[in-house]
Amino acid sequence: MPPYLLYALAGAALFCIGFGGVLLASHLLRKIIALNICASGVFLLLISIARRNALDEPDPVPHAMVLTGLVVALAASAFAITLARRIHATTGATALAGFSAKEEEGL
Amino acid sequence: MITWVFLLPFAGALAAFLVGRRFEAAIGGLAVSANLAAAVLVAALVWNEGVQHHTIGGWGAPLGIVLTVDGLSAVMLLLTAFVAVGVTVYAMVHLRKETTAGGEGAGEELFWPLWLFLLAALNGVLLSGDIFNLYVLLELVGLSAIALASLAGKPDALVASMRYLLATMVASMFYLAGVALLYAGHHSLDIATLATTVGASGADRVACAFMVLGLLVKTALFPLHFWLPPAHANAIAPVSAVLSALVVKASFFILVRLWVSVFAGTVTVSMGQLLGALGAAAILWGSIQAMRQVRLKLLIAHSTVAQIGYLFLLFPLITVEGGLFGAAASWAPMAWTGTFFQVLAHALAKAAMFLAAGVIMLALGTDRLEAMHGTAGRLPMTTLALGLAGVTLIGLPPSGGFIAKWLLLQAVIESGQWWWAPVLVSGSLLTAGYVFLMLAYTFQPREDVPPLRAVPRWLEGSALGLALAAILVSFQTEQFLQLLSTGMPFSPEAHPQSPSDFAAAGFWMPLAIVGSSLVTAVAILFLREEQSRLRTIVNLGGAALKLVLIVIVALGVLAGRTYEARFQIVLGFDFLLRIDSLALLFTMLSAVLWFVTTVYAIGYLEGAPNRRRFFSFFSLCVTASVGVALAGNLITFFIFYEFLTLATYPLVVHRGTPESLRAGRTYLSYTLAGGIVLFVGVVWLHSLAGPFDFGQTHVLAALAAEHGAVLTTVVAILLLGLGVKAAIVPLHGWLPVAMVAPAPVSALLHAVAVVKAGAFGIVRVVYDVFGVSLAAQLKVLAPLAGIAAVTIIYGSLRALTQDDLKRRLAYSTVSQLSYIVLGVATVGPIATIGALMHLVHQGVMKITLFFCAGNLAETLHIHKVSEMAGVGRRMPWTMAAFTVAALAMIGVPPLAGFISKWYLGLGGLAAGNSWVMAVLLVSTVLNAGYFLPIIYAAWFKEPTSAWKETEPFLRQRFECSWLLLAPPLVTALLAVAMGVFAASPFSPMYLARQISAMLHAP
Repeated sequence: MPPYLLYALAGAALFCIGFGGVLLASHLLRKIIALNICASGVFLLLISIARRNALDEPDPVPHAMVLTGLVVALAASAFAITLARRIHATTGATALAGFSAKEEEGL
Repeated sequence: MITWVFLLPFAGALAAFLVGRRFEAAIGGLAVSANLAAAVLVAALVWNEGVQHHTIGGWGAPLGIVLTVDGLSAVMLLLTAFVAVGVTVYAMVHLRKETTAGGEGAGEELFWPLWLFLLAALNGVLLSGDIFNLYVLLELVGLSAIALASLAGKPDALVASMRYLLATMVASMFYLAGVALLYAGHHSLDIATLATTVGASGADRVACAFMVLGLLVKTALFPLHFWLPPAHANAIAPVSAVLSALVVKASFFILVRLWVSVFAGTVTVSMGQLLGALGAAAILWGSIQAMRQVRLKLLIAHSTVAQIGYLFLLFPLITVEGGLFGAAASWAPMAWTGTFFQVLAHALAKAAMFLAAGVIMLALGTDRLEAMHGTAGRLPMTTLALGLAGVTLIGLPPSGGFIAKWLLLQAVIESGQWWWAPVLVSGSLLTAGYVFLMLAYTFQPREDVPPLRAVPRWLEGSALGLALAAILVSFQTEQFLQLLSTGMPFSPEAHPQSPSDFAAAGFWMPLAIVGSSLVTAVAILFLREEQSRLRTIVNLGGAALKLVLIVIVALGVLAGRTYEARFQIVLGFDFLLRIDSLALLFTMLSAVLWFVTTVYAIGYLEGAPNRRRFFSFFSLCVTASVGVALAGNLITFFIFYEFLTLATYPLVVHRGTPESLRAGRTYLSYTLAGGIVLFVGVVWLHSLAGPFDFGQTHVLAALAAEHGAVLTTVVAILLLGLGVKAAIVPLHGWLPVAMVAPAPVSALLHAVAVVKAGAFGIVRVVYDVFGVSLAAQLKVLAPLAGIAAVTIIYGSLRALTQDDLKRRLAYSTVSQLSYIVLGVATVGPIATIGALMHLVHQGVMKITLFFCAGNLAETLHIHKVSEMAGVGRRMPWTMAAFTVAALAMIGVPPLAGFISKWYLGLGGLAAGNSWVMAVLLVSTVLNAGYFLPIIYAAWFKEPTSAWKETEPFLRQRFECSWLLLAPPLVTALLAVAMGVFAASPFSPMYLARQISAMLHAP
């Protein structure tokens, strides 16, 4: 199996793991980390795409996309962690589940 | 040039961040205004020169980023800029330290940079032509929106923002994965380039699925909408407005862009149908959830979920067997423009609603619906904003939402995908459900409501301004549609403007007649509650003016002049007001009875609260009624027909008591359901036959040969929709219930406005749309006659058993109206004369009876027939009028009712239906059965118990206020005159004869 295909598959696997983590994990920090894993999966996929064929130099456009994506993921993660800290500070909760029922009833 | 719409708000954001608290609001205002100017300039550019392109840095595709502005982008830019202005005005006032209510949270200084970043990103999304650029902009939109949502600081807001953040980030990951796959396959990120190369390969399909999925989460389509209601509801008001109005539309915009360009070869019919089905589910689910809410902002947020569902009806309509641009050519432009008109209308209305909710939150300290009792009186501007926005969301005319639903319905019918029509119908009804649920609270006064804090005028004004824009946008439809069509992927049809001769007097007269009461309505709104004398002058002045105008017009019509006012609304359909003899008949009835009822109402409501609101809606009611009369085609008729429903609701619930609100709910359920059924019929008919006016019966006659069965179905649907207002059994249930309204309302509703509109509609449909011969050919007249006969007998029988006087009169109306329907359904000119005469006679007779009932209730608190014994001695004049009118209704010669019944019976015989005569005889006997005992008891029996007098008898000169006495006497005299002088050239019979001759001409 050519290396780039291995990276692509690994990226896909990371994507799935991360996605599952966001859905299934309850602690907010775990969700955020899972989100980052999901992002890493996509970035790995992008890097594996950068290869045109066995002899050429890598295509720089996907690399640029990965860098942009990293910056965005950084900003989003920072924001998410701040939000999670604020939630913990005001309510003491570390998970989202406890609030959904009460919100709908308008408390 | 086009990059300014991105750069200006972006620069503003940086400046606001650097400048700090003191000047950032000013910079915000400056940036938003500059953005509006830039958006207008870009739109003008697109209008004049077509699609605009700009390559960033001069590097074109496939490596560079190309910005593209077509008509759709231009319209969305204008929308974004306009909503931004409204929200900014609101925010500037709301966030000033002294007006921030407790609990709304700190962090206002971050609002401005974040809001301007969001605006810049939204504009960028509309410009970008590169899928990765779109990813970056989507992230910018998302992060700023979430940050804004969390600004409120409450735990609910923080948790909702967290959920929103996780959902949107996962969605972005899906989108980015799709971008990666597309790049892998085609080595380009440029949309225009990808449009040519992307096909239906495996990688392309997966990329399509991923990107669509990501965008669906961001657009909150059911069932991926879970994050939206808490996030939108818990944010501060300006943020909620932007989130619901603009942010969800950004991802929808991208979805549509990709669907029609990049993935045009990838998408399949089933994908389109799936999205449509999810949209339908969203409409259903969101509306039901909205009705269950106890907080206003959650109700509005769930409404967003529902309204977004409408947008997804675009996909099944454009993705059809022949591919996107093949067989879908004829209805796709309509679906496209309808969907984006819905985007326009919804964004304006939803922003208005959230800003209004913000005002209510500030004023009352809470947004619980129960706290909103009586806000119609306390916060009228805000309630009006909520009402207008609600009208747009339901899709009632005249609003942007109506145009959108009309276009969508027409596209649905023309495409043959008829299963979306029930979705549109039930969507409107469900939306009406929660809108009127919300509004009902505002009409109900209560003692223990929270005290009202003062709210700055600008806040209310910005909400009202946006709501008005949602309505006004429907008056500029053709321009918006033209702009939307620039660069559209589907070829639009051209609709040349029909020539309107503005200079002719014949153009302005119909408008003046309708406008006289509209101006009165608006003028009264601006008067204060205490200025009752001025209000009376305005009222009576308007009524008198209308009478004068109609007399002038009547003379003109007799001399052979034509009066016509025509504007194109959309797609070649005109708004047409035309005065023909039939219109004249109905208008004269409306005008005379309006004048009389106004006098009566002034007397009846002496000293009552909320008279300003009453008389304002009263005048609107008459505007709608006259509009119905003067309508020259089905669409104009429908617009005023629905407007009539809206205008009468506040009158029915005027007193605010639980019974009146219940009655209002019943009234609305019946009339709105009937209205939407009528709408479906009208749109279906026009999609078959194209636009046509009343009187052009040859249009449908030509279609009869091949489309006979369809035409029969359409006629049945039209009659069903009209039958609700015409109180045909079994659709009559609302009429007796609506009797809780004050007497002037019952009088007007039951003599002139609502019920006659239904009957008049049936007359128009049978005679002027289909024509008598076609109607007979389609075999609808016989069943209609049968149902009318059943209604006549049923109404009379129920009237016999009613003890409540007004309910007895209500059932009598049910019965009498079907005389008109029976006359229409009987073939032949004589029956037509009878029907038309009865239209007028019944109005005059019934209004007399209701006036008298009102007198009895107001002066002596008599509501039941059993209490009426001996009242003839106490109130002789009132009972005299009642007696005359009752005898006329029974059909005693030479009174009015006899003449019309005589003609109806003769008409039945002439048509060979002798059973008509039998039905009339039975009904006459029954009429006598429920009227004569009342008259006998009133004059000849002794009173059973003392009546509760409102004022001691000895103090007054007359038996009751002269304002209450004169109107019934006048109308009773009219009832006599119309019978005795029936042969003279000014009687209804003369006019009816003329009209009938015209309608039956070969």
